[in-house]
Amino acid sequence: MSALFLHPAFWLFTGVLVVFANRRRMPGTPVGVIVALGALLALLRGVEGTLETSVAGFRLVWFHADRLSLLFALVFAIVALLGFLYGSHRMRAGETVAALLYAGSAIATVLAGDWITFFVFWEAMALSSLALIWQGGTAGARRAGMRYLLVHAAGGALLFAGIALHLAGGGETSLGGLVSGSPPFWLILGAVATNAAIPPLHAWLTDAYPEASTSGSVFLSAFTTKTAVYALLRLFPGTEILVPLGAAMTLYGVVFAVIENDIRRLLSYHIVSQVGYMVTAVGIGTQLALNGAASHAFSHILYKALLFMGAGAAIEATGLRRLSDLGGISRGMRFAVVMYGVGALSISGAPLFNGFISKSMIVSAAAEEHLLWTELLLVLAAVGTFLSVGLKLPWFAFFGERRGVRVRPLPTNLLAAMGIGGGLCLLYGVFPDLLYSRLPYAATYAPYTLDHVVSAMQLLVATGFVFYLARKTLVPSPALALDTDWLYRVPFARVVAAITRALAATGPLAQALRGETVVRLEATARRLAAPGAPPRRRESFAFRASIGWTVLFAAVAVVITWIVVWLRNPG
Amino acid sequence: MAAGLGGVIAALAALDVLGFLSGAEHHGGIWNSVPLGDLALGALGAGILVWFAKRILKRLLSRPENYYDGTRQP
Amino acid sequence: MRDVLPGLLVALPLAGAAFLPLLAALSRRTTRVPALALHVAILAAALALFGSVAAGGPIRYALGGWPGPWGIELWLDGLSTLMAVLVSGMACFASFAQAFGSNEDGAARGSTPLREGLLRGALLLLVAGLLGIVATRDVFNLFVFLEISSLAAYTLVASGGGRSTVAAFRYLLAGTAAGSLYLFGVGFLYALTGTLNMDDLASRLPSVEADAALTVAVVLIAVGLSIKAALFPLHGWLPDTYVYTPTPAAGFIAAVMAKVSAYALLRLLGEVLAGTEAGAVVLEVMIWLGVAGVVAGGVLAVAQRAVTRMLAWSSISAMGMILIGVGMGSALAITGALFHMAAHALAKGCLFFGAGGVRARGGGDDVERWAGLGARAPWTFAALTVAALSLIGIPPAAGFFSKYYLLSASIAAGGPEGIASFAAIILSSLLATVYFLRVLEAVWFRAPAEAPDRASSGEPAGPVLPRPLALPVVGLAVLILLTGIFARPFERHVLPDWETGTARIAAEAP
Repeated sequence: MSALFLHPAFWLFTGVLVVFANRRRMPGTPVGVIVALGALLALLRGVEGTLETSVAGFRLVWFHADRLSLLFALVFAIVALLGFLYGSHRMRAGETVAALLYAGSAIATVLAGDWITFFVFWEAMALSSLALIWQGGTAGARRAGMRYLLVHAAGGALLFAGIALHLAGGGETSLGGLVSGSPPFWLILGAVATNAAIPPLHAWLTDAYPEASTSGSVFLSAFTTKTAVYALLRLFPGTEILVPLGAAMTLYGVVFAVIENDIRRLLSYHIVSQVGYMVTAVGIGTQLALNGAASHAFSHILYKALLFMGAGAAIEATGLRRLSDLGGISRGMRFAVVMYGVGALSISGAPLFNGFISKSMIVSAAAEEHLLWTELLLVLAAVGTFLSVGLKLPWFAFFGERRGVRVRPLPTNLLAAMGIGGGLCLLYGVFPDLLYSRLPYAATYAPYTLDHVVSAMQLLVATGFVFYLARKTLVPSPALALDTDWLYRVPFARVVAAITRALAATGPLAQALRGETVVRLEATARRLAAPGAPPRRRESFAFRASIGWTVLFAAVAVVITWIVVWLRNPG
Repeated sequence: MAAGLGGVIAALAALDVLGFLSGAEHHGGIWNSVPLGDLALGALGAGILVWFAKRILKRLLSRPENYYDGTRQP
Repeated sequence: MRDVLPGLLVALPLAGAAFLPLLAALSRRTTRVPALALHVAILAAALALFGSVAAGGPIRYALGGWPGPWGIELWLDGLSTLMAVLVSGMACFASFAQAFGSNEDGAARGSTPLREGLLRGALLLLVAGLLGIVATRDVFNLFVFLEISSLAAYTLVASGGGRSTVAAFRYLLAGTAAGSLYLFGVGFLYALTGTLNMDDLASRLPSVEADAALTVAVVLIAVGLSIKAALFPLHGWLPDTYVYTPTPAAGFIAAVMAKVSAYALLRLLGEVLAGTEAGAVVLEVMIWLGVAGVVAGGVLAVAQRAVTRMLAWSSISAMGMILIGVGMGSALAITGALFHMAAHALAKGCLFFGAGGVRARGGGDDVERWAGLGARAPWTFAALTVAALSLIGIPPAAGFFSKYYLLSASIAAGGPEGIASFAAIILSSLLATVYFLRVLEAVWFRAPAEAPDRASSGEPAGPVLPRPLALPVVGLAVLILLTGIFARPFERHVLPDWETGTARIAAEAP
């Protein structure tokens, strides 16, 4: 039993039962905070080791804790705690259940030691995150959720296919052991790339995350993409294709964020961009780079949750979500704005904040391997990050022109969560060894050298200067930008509609296919029941077609089979 | 404002030079090997980024907010 | 035990089918308890046989003491006892729902004890027919049981009145055509070999010259059974039948009817006729048609708005998967096919009981009308969610393992048909995710739709599902999870019998 308590997901899943059983009597979230705390405490013991059960002949390694998985599980538990605290004034039982399942399955995924367990929780994560998106409750959330489902179902199918091929090819059931370049390798990489939101497979993220509730998007920002980063670290370290993909990804997100108007969609594009850093690092594959990817995932989860909390605070206070509607609201929410600023400086890689201690590690790793272009792209992306998240968003949302937007006071629990988040960002930024001591790979790194600090400062100042010059150009306007989701929202949807129309076309074969002749035949049946009106000939047509089809099929089948048999041994 | 910015840049330049004089190891590309190279790179990069996103990408990809509303979506 | 039970397995439901309507007519009282008791007794017999076969090997049983090949034999091995347990178990659930739930359309037409007794008799007759198909070792006897089960099924389908009558008529036409084709095939076989006993047939076939007559026999048998098994594109009868059958019967028919025919296909083509070349060709074609059915069923399920019709198309997709397994014929593929029969029967039974219950309560059949039901009946809809996730293929539900076995079998088979079936099964998971999640989204995440009819009539909002239907739904969901968890022991239990069976026939071939 004590082994069970060790597993942090156990706490969260128990919370699901408690909330579900008491769904009418009490709001769920005190439970959420408590079980997340339990999970966190279970993890802080930092026990490494493996626990497995033989279920029905399958060896299931449901707890496989080494330094890599413990690092991810720890930060997942922290962010779950912050998320439940942040949302506790508004989360109902349904959303709490979805969030508990989501956080629990993300933790269980990174602690899984075999393919089957990994797949189970990977899928559970997809479904529970979908539930969380749908809790947004709007028509927009519903539709975005369906598209999210479409993409993740395809990703899950790829993973399933990959695992099946891997195991059928004599692969071990324990996680890992993929032969580079083999079909299962590519299938599973495709599945993981979908969850890591590598363009062009990223549109589900920027499409769906802004549609969730304010607390929902805090959870969403943390788990799915970072679990994918964990999977990349575990399964695909040093895969070279990831270097150009990741580097392109960092800039892709940044560029779209510059023209984005929806505050949470802007931040979502920066998830794509930041995950790009981690993907690049995994591709580089040196010990330093892998440590960089792991620590950047850790830092990113904290500051990105903080940023989404800040954006959510603006939405909670005003009910508005577009930059072009907001403006001049900082007066009513000073503390939240300051904490958002901490998150913004962290993501921009300002010294003393936690983004700096991990991002510079990845840039240095690229430099050490003499990947000049990669390094250049990463630096440019850092510039763009500060431009959008650090300057554009706060300027047009919190400061700038006042439009007479009413600002409602924010609840204490929300501010407390932001305060803790901001505190953690600073804590890890000032004392990097708190994080470095937990890193999985053997590589040391000193972030606070004069060289690093000065170049980071120069980049920030230069960006600020350009923003000042271009502030008129950057004024946001209400519009949306096409992204790769256009492909399945317009052409693909048209193809599906065309197929449906074709199937709906009349004709005996189409009717036989649809099996929907009953509507017409009912008239005949009624006439049979009420004699007097002779049935018309046309209406019995479909029956004859159905029988005729069967007989025709049988005849054709006989002939074909006989020909094949005869061909195989003539004479 | 301008004076403040000038001061900050001067301070950074001084630090940069100090870094070179102390002979500390430098990482990466050419922009790290010239004083204020990062500043120049940052300004250039941010400028190109704004220009590309706002002048090119926006013209190509921007659509009215109700663009998808009439379409049959999955 | 072993010398009585096999006969009892078929005789018990047959006798019950005659006895129940009689009892109802004479006593003019409800017959729910005797009916339920009979079904439980049949299940007990099936379970006892299952255990006995697992412990002591297959049982051969001569009906009336006439030994084969002259008399009619029953043959019970791991495969057939498994099917018997599945059929009789699902029948128990259906009988429970029939006993304590009101038949929605029947109630409207004035339900009397006699009418109820007749319908219960029909269910027992259907069970008798299906168990007969499962157990018999005689190809003509199989035809007889096929017709018995079909006649009972037509009655049950038509009992809803209205559109059900038309659906039943359509089913009857298709079923009669199927039965006739099968009978023709058996006739040819008898003319060629002079025997009807399966073992005898299998041993005599190798000496029969491979000519057009044998090909015609094999193809006619295959086509006939394929219609009953709803192999694409011979599935035309299925959607309407499943949609318009009244609820307790729909749960049973949708769960096991087509599967028993697929089992017969497996028995005949995979074992008895395996040595013939026409058989091999037919099995290969069956893989490709299965692939087409998996894809077409999934695509058309996505296109439906009515929940039951969507479930019906999903069944066509599932039958495609089962027949892919039958067509491949490797041990792994057969495991997958059998496991999918069980997994899909449990899940589809669960879903049809649920969907029928919602419809019976005036909830309607459109996805929109399911909105917000999850909040009103969380446990029932949690159970339906488990069934849906099982069909999508999320572990540890049973559906995952059947797909897993079938995928592994496709990989092992290799070649174009292996690749095609691998892709089709993966695609079917994807499509199932889309069509089931669309319903689940409405159930769990939308506000309840206004029900104008109820609001205007002032009827109090009762439970979403009648309680007698909620119990089978939850029970089946639990079974789905248990079946998934105990997937591996299942595999070990069923397969050896199959392998020794086919090996024996291969050994008898010269």
